[in-house]
Amino acid sequence: MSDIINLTAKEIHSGILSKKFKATEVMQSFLDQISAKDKELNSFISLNDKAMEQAQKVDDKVSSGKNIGALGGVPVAIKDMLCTKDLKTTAGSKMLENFIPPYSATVVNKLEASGAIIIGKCNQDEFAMGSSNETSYFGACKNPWDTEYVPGGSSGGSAVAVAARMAPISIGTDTGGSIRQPASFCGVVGIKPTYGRVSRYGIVAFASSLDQAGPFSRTIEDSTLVLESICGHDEFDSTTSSKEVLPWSTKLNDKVEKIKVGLPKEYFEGGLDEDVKKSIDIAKDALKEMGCEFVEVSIPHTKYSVPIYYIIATSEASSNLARYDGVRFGYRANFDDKPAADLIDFYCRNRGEGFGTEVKRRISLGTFTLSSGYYDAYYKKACQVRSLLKQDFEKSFKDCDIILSPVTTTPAFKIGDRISDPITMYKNDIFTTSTNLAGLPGLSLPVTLSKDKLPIGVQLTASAFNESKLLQVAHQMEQLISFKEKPANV
Amino acid sequence: MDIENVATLARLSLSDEEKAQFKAQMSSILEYFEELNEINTEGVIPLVTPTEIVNPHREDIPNDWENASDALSVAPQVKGNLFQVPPVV
Amino acid sequence: MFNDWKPVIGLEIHAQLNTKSKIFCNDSTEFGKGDNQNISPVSLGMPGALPVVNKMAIENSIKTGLALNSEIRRKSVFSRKNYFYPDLPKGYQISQFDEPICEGGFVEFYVDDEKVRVGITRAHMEEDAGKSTHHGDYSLINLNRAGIPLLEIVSEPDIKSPAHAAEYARTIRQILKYLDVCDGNLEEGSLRCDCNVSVMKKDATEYGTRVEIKNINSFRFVEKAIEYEISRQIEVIESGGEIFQETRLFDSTKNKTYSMRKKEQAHDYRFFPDPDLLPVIISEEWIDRVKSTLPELPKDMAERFQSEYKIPKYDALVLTQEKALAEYFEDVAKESGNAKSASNWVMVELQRELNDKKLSIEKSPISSSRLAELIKLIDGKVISGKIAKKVFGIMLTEDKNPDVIVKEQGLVQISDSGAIEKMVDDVIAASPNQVEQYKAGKDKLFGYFVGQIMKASKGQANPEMINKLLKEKLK
Repeated sequence: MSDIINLTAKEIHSGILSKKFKATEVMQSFLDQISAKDKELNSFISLNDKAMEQAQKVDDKVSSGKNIGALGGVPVAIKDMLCTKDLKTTAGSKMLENFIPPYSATVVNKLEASGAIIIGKCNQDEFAMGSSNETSYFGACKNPWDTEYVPGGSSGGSAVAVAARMAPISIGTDTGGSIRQPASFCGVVGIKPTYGRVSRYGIVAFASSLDQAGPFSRTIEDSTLVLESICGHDEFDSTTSSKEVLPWSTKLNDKVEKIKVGLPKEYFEGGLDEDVKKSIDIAKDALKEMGCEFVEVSIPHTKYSVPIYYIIATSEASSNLARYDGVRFGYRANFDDKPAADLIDFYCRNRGEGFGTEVKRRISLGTFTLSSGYYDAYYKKACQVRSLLKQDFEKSFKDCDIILSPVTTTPAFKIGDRISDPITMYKNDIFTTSTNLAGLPGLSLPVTLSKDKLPIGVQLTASAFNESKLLQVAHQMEQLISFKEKPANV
Repeated sequence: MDIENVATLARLSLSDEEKAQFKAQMSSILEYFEELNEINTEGVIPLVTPTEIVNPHREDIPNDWENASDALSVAPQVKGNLFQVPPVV
Repeated sequence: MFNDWKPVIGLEIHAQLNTKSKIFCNDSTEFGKGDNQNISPVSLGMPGALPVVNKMAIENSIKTGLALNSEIRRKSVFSRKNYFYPDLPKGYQISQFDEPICEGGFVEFYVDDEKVRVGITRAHMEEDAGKSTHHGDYSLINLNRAGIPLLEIVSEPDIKSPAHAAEYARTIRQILKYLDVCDGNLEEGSLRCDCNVSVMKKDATEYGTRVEIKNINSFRFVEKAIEYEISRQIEVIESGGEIFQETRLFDSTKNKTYSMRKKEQAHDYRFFPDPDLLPVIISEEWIDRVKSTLPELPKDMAERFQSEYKIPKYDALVLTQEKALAEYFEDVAKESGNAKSASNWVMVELQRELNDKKLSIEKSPISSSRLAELIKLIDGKVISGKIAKKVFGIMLTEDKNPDVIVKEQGLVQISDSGAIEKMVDDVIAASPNQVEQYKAGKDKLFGYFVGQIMKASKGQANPEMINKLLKEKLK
């Protein structure tokens, strides 16, 4: 049975269908792995106590010959940013420590409609604000490759759950790299779809114009199956596109012809970290073997992507997080001993005590950048440069089909190393934030290990709604690179 | 930056330590943001969101939400079916 | 009016658009539901909930904009107005800021026979907040109203007097009701009116400090509140004081405005475009489509009534005050074929009755077709005008057609010349003295004979025939 946890989602699903094993056995295997490993890794905030019951229902369907859906019986771990009806959803915050949503996110509904079973809710940086999973109210999550290292963030728990075989697939959210960066740090696949591909309805909002949910898995094919299930127009999210969701998984092996791979010169100008350079070289070799051609492209506004990102993300967040006020749900300070002096005091204490430091720092920053007299200099200016950055990409994609780049400037760093230095932490997002700003699809594909034996991925980015090519190229690279390493301890 | 004013505007109680830390960090963050001033953005239309969908409207059809009572059960304090807060006047 | 001072008045009218569901989610907008019953994740501002615009709210706004002679922006933007208040679930109100749906425009109305024009600055869509009730040491929040669509119509500050302000507000309400986009009910709060008032010396070039008056729930109070506020401001300035920019409330029992709070907090709403909502794009075709559904507006209707039905301007203005009344009148006029009479019956008899009973025209006990029937009975000489009033009185309480009443009560006008001749003969025979005097030249006595004959016929004799026969007999 211990083999089950090393299977892909696709293998699990077909194993259940062909009655090789039962959905309940699958679920039990993963739950056992969680019991064995998660005390140390801390990747789950809560588990679904109905998971076995739901697996049993899948088994019942199998035995009565009923359709179980494309992901029937596959356990899925969900970042705690996604509302799950009747299952605690915390966003990694004390603010929502006891929040049980009365509704589910569209992504959750879609996964369940495909037969997937929620195994639990994953740890994350508080309100997805962080790149190391250290800002979680529920404690840092640890990198399974070396527990002294961060797993990345903000979707750290979702990446770790898959890397440490506690779930075959998981869902994260990506606002500035929060899926791709932890995927790279943990040696798994992580995909951020085009903005508008996946409904944001029911997903705790961090930055509305940047947030996008996406899958983690150990293969491109598994993530593709998840995307086929969660993408598509949603009547509850005005920003979802009605562009058709194609059966991408059936086309992954189609020959990609005359693919031009763009290398943005700005990304490589300052020289790369040795390990990161190695990962890019391996990726290039694979692409060469596939017959791809390389072209130099230019994204002149690259160096501004981090400041634009932080201005826009914090501005939007300052407003998005205003709803956590202790009136209708969430944390309320103790006013029995010390009554609220006035309404302002009531809010300040609820919010001041309910939010952690990084969240308060970002809300303060965003409140300032939107405030009277500063709006034009910060928020509006950032949106203007965002427009220029998006044009840079549009121009580049006239000359190439896919952009290859690092995911981060370095492999995973140690827990505690950067938490006190926000700017260094923010600057680490240089390669990932621009994808969100331009609304493009991007993914992280694991390729190698660093000299410290930590995984490193490379990032592939495509033009908007061109997931089809992105997935094909990534899948075929994956076959050639054949990264088979796994954390020693799992 | 006036951190007191920002904290009040954002309705956040901050400890003295947080105030001092934020003030220092934010001034260097804002300085970092200043880099944007190198770019001439005259006449550039701000990009608020990357999608280009036109008129995602909803038809005017009301619906009763069956979980309204669940929503009240997650509230910190209610009286009957109303949310209770300290006096607001 | 105010010596050498001149008031500067502008109105902000919040009209609740009468859609079936809220502006950004499908909660019902039904009034009077149980506490927190019209709610959902969106109106509660639950984590992850997102707004989707109600198309009807946009259409109603376009409609209103067209009726107010505004420009409809081809692209308008929803912004977030950020502030904290317990009845504001998300911590921001979705509103329109620098790119509202309607810009510019004007309305015209009459005050004391003078035609007045007031400019419209803009009209923008926004969502309503919930309702707080205060109970001493705590407050309670009901979110049934949160998210109900509002259209805020902002006038130019060019209203010249309190009376004009009230009439402007009435006109806006009249238009909204004609368009059927708002029920215009001030008491239920579906129409709310805030007044901005300042005063300046007649020869001054700079505006004075503006005070906002809220909480006014009748048009009469709009006039009273502004009147009081102008006098108050003049008095303060003339006695060396200073006007502060503040919000004041109107107390209708004391006829005064009073300051809402000691010190106005500095607002910093941090408006920015809502990234959850894409710009509202309105095509030429959409506008044309809405234009084609626009009903006739009161001003046009009043003009048409004057030319088509040859009724006086005053009558036309009164009859078009409410769309339902105008339609009622027009139905009566058309069906009876006698507009003049229709206008008199509607304006005098019917209106008096409705006013007495505080009924709206929609609740009139007499339908337009029955009133038309009644007029036709008069015009067809079946009953006299006098009998008609009696029949009208019966129609108010009995649900019957006028011809049925006339028949049941035997009120048909007597036009049988034999019967009338007999009555004439009887009266002449019974009044020898009067006959003698009449013949001697006392013409006034003719009325006496008519009266006697009418009395004998219980009012049912055809008056024209009485006249004719009487004249012959008394020759």
